[in-house]
Amino acid sequence: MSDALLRVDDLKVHFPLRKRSLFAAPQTVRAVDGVSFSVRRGSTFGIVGESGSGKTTTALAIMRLVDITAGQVDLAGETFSALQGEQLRTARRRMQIIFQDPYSSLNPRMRAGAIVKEPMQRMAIGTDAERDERVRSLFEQVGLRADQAQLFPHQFSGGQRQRIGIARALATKPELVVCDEPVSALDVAIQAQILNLLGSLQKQFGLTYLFISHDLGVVQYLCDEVAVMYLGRIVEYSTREALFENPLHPYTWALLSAVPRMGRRRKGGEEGRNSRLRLEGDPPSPINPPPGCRFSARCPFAEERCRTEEPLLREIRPGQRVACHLVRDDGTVPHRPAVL
Amino acid sequence: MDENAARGPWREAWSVFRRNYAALIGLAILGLVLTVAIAGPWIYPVDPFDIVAAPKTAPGEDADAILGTDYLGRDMLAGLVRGGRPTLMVGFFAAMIATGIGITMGALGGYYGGKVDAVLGRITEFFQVLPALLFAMVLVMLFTPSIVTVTFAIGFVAWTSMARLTRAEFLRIRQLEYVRAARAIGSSDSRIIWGVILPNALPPIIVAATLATGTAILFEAGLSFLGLSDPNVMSWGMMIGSNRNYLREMWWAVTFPGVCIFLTVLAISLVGDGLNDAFNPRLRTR
Amino acid sequence: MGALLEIENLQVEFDTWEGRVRVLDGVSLSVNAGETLGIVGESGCGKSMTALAIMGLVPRPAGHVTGGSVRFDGEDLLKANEARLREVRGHRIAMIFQEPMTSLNPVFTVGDQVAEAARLHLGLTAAQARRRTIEMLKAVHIPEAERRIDEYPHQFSGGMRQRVMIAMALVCEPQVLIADEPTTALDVTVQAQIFDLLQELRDTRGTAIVLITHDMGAIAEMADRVVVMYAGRKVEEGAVERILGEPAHPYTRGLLACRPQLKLGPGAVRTALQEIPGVVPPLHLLGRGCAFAERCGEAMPRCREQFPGESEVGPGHRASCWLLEAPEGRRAA
Repeated sequence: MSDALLRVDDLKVHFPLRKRSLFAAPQTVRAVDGVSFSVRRGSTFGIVGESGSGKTTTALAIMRLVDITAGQVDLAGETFSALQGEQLRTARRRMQIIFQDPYSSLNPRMRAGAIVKEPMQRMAIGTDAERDERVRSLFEQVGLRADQAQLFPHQFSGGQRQRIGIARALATKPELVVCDEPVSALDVAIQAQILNLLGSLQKQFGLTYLFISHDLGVVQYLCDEVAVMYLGRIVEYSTREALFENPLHPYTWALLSAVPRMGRRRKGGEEGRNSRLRLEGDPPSPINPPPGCRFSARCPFAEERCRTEEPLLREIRPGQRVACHLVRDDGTVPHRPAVL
Repeated sequence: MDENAARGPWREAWSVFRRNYAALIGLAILGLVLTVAIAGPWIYPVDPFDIVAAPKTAPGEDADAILGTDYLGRDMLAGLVRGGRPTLMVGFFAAMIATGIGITMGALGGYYGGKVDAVLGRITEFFQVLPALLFAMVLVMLFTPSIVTVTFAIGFVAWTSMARLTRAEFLRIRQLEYVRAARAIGSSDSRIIWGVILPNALPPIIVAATLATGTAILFEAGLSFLGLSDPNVMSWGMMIGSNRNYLREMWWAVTFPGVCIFLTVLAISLVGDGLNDAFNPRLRTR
Repeated sequence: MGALLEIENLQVEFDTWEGRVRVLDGVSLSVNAGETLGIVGESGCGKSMTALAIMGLVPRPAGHVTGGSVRFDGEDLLKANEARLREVRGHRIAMIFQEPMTSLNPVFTVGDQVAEAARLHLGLTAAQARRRTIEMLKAVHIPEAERRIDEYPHQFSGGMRQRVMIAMALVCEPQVLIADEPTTALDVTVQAQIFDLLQELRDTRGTAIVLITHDMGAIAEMADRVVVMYAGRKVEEGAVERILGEPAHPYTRGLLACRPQLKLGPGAVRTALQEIPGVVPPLHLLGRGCAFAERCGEAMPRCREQFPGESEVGPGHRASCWLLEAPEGRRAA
């Protein structure tokens, strides 16, 4: 796609583990194991998953904050993943990140204004006066007052700290903003404020978002396309409409089923349990993924083939891709429970 | 969300510190010691090496020497007045040297990890297992005793705990998100180490440096006692040391300089404790 | 008095840098045997502090319970001495916390910790306690309970640890289980498993549950009745259908409207997010009026002057808001 701002091609991030004993075989954590997707300019791309899915590592690898083991990341046609040293530092201005934890992502010894100004200083953008002016304008755009620039992070609430983080991310006028669970650590009422803010900033500046989250409700609200990750791989990759109207992968069904929802009273007893798609056990660790489909161990529909042969991500129809053997080529999913 | 003042972490620490009475007393004592050390020689210009009265005079016996004289007849009071300066200077500068070496070793090891940390760690361990006082003695002997060599010798043996502390702080802070954020905006490694992590690692380092000053003073007293300090400089340790053969007859030769050392180190400890509490984030309201 | 647990006018204050701050200001609620009461509100509203006050665990020396009563089965726990409280804690009223990572002691086996409660309160021998522990671990669906009883907390995942916490809490068959944000730190699929478990245990043992959470969805699924708290006060209370369907207090309505709701199926429409402007005011700056007035779109001058009393909105449904006062000044007790 020619208007793809970000293209990720077979990205892999593996971490070697300390050997448990001198003679044990070395183990690797395959945090991200072959992830490919592309993000259109001006859109919001969501990556959803739980712990161990590799979603955060994917975001950090794209940002080059974590070493890439294999694969390629292209930003507006330029191979971002191959840049080094000074070239990398200058290229960073085009891609910035908003972190999850507002309490540890701001340097406690710097004033808020200085935090927002710093990216421009590091990348030698503008004159000092221009930078100050931009800080003022950013503060206003994120809903803070200019006189709050001289305060320290601990004098702000969680939501306000996240606004500072957003202002910092926008300081260099990036094209792509990676949002790593930006509202997960905030109270519900503040989440809405920040989500609305992110939405309006996107319209105002034509930003492209890569939005990492575990919260499907938020993803449905904000994202145009969604990739569902499990154990380092994408298991479903669709447009928003397709994902929520016609989800294809059993893990996606489990996620959707697990979200506590307002209109649905939890029915007790046998009837209740049958109305939900429940997974047994915990999300496994990405250290030694089983052969075949990584989800087969917990999948209620797994067949023999699933345990031996790894399903590839295939396009069922335009805008909908899934990695599952059980989805028929015509896109029907006879095994999907009726409750969804 | 208090907007009353842009209270930086240092201002907040000060406001906690000044509510701590023990720390304030320590600060007052230190202030007194400093004043005497600086202004004393003007007010009481007796040379501590001058012989003013009969040797081994007890305090109160002779009007020329209110606090008595040492085994050579030198004025005790003059020694106390003059002795503060070298004591404090050695203590302070030795602590600075130790802190400088320790921070560098700890910061580089803690930040880079891997082989760098392994090598620096072994060096730190080597210096740690050396018997500190003995090694300081050896250094002083090698380079002839003077106030400079004594200062460096003490600094050179006392840095290991600072290094461990710094390294631990760096390990902790390095994985916080604002360090990652600094990298995301294009900061270089050296900027992150010295400009981002170190300022946040300072509080326990400052406390340790303060307490190291106290330790350095005791070291200096020890070295002086053993006759290994600058013979031209009268320090409190030297006062005890030079009279060491007569200590049983001359209680005042130990007591007066000893009390001075004790009060100074105590004051430093109280201030150090106060700083520790002041920087402790537990006490800060969120 | 049919209620099992009855809190009346509870007041808790804290010593802080800004002086004495009232973190709970006259909170009254009740829990009936076998029901699930949800307490919902954002951080700082005092919901966790209410739970701690019930258990007599308000942090000292900074915290003080300065008023009200907590009646459990007729007895006022606030007046009980430490020995009596220890008898009640863990035995008649149990609590599970948010962070399963840090709520379990890392140097003792899981079996030791579950058995400890049984031996302390039920006077079981070591062998009896062990049998009971295995029973409980099975009841919370920990696979291979006989083997895992001797493992240490770090060998369990987050969801498993929370199950162990639940086992510990229920081993003495308490009448009330207080669950303080039990699933906030867990993945959503694990969260669902834990809610399933709590529901199953409730159905089989008849334990009353006080579910403290900020997640309205969890309330919708689990609770029978709901109490909504804001800035140390209760602002609305009622049956869950009423609270969700006809919320009376502007804050409750705001909480419900600001959450992106998941909608499935064809023609799923993105629901717009309505935000509640502003932030929760710092507790030491609260005046005499309604704490929500600053952020309320419908605030009247009266709201800032005086805290509204409770008005009856429907059967069992009460809220504290001047907007609900009928012009005649009708007010139910």
